[in-house]
Amino acid sequence: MKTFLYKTAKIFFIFLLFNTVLFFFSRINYYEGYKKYPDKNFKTFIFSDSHGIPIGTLSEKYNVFNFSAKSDSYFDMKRKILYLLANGFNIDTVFITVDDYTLSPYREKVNNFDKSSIYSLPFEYENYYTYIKGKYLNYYLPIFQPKVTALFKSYLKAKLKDIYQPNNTSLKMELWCDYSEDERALKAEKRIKSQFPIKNKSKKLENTLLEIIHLCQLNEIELIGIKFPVSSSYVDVLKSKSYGADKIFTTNGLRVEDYKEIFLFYPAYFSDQDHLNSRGGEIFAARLLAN
Amino acid sequence: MLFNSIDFAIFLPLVFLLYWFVTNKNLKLQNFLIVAASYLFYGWWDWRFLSLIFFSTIVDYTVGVKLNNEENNFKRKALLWTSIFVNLGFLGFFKYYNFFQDNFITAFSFFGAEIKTNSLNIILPVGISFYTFQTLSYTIDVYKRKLTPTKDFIAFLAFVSFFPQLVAGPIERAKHLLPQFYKKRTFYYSKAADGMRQILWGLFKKIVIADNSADYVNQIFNNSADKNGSALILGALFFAFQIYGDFSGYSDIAIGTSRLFGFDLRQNFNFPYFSRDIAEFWRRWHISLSTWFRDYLYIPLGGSRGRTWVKVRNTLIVFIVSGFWHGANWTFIVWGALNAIYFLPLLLTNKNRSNIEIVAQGRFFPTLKELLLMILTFCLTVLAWIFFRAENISHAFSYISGIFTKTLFEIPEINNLRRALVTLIIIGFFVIVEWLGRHQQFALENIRSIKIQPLRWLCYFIIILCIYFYGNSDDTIEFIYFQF
Repeated sequence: MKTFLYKTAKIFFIFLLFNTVLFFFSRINYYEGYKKYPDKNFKTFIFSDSHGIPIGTLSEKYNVFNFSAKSDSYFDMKRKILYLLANGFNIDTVFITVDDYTLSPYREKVNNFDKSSIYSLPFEYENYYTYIKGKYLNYYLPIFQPKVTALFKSYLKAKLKDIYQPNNTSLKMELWCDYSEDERALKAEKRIKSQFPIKNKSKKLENTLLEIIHLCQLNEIELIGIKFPVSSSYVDVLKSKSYGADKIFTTNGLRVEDYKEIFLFYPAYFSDQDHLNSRGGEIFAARLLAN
Repeated sequence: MLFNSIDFAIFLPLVFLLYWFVTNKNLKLQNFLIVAASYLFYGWWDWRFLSLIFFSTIVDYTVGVKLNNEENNFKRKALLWTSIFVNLGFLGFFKYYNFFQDNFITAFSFFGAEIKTNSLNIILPVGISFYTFQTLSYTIDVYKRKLTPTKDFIAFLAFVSFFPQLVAGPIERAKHLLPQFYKKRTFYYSKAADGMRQILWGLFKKIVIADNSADYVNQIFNNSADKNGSALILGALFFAFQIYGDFSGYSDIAIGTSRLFGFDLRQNFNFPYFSRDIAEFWRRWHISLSTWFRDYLYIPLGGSRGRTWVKVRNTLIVFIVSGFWHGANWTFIVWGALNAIYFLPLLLTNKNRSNIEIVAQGRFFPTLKELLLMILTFCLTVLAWIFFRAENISHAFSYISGIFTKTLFEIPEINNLRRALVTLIIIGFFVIVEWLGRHQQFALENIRSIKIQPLRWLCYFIIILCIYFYGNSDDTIEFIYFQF
């Protein structure tokens, strides 16, 4: 038994060592920019996915905290709102994205539900064990986290490519406005195809959005929907496609601020078909929050 | 809880430590811990089904005890049929109720009559097909006086619910497993080390081979109408490895885990894809189920004795019932029937026991004849697997007809073809390792013959790295046989 335990302990030690490496890796590369703990003075918040990221910390000069994160879904945004309420934040206003694709079924898989568990509360789980597992074990044992594994693999592949192909010109970044009209249309088409995989919206996401609305009503929070600016190529391809998150807002008597087409003639403000760059983010932040 | 989950990674060491350090001095305590751990394991899926397995256990324990004291043949038969009725009744209800109802309605609508019924939203209890057969074998053996019934209720509870093999086998015979609960288990290093090796190999098969194949299987089978012939062939090939990696991987983990606790379970897969004919395949694939059907259905029907039509009838019944055991769908029945059609010529020409020993015994390479026979047998099983995986019969037929078109010689139209090729290369290495280990219980067993410890550990390290880096990180892929 002693020999067996000794050898198993050795394996366990190697496993722990590797997990430690992965833990620090995940803190730098996976949770980077995600773990945000706003100051209690903030009363207004922006919740969005990657569309809200270009605003960055510019909103803070308007006393608005930008809680946006790439690939955040309504599941994640609801968690964050609950976290703020549970931690004594006095929330006045919440700006939340109601872009056309936010109720897309693809968001059920492509989201930050594993990451946003750092904001989760015990009552969201079936029992205390699943709470500990969801919030702490998944964070401290990233060896069991599929997304961290996938990221680590990509990181290693990229490092190997750097070693064997150090002057890789294919990685050169191109500006959105440098692309031709046809190239932009193609990129927009590819993007929209992934955002609108099927006709029907996600019922789960719709229910979560309704829960957010209800939560804000209960806590007397002014909830405002935002439609973020997109490029003209994107608008041309999108046409009337929409899963109707904005309609849910208007049906519930909530305000929607539609900025979708404000930068149609300003391709220089975009980094790609539907994301602003830093310049565009700066101008948009001023436009959105100055009033 | 899945074997490849954080829950099991916490559960197993805890139970292991309690078992060998707290309860090891007392047999009853050891068995009680097994029962408690097994019920926790099973309840983790759905606590509502604990009552089902407990009730089934009580019925069969009671039937066993009463059979022992009963001499009247009529009463003995009545007791046996009680056990059969309860076990198959549960199985029939949870697994086949909606199937029979739907087909009943379809049959009536064929004659112009419309029947309105409500489909019940029945959740299939995990492992029900396995533990009901396991307990049935107990009562049948007691009835036939091949086994003395146990009076130790805790041992019997542990036998029925033993967590490593509860949800997907191997289906153990009471004669083999139950006596192991009568003796206090002693820790043996070699057994535990073998167990760990087998668990590692099982995880490799499941996470690397099965789950990576599953990506392509789902992509191809779910969109088979849009795929070219070469993609369809690839889909069928991947499925052959998905189901083998998944099921035999689970069995390896189950057997390996049992060894950690001092138990020996039967081998469930004996390198079936190296079979030279279908009869040999069925002696090597899901051994615990095929021997169950042989002993409790085929032989009581008369087996291969008697007239030709009796042999044909018995073979068809056993294979079709075996197919039906897998699921409530006509595709499984057709799969079973197809295997029966493959098997019958061998049986009728008395060639079903031509290949008993493992292929290329004592040699490294097979002969050309052996190689061709293995390839032919493999192709026949892959063709049958198409029915096993298809949504329905017409899907299976359209899938097969899609293969045999001129698009068979085109480049497969699948997403991420490069990754598919990498997966095929890994499968190729896997087949080589299995070939090298084909004389053992499991392929990795041979590794203990490497005397240089650092070299041995390097091999383990490489396998672990493969699991980590090439394993499919999608934690939603369950073991296929959980649905049975």
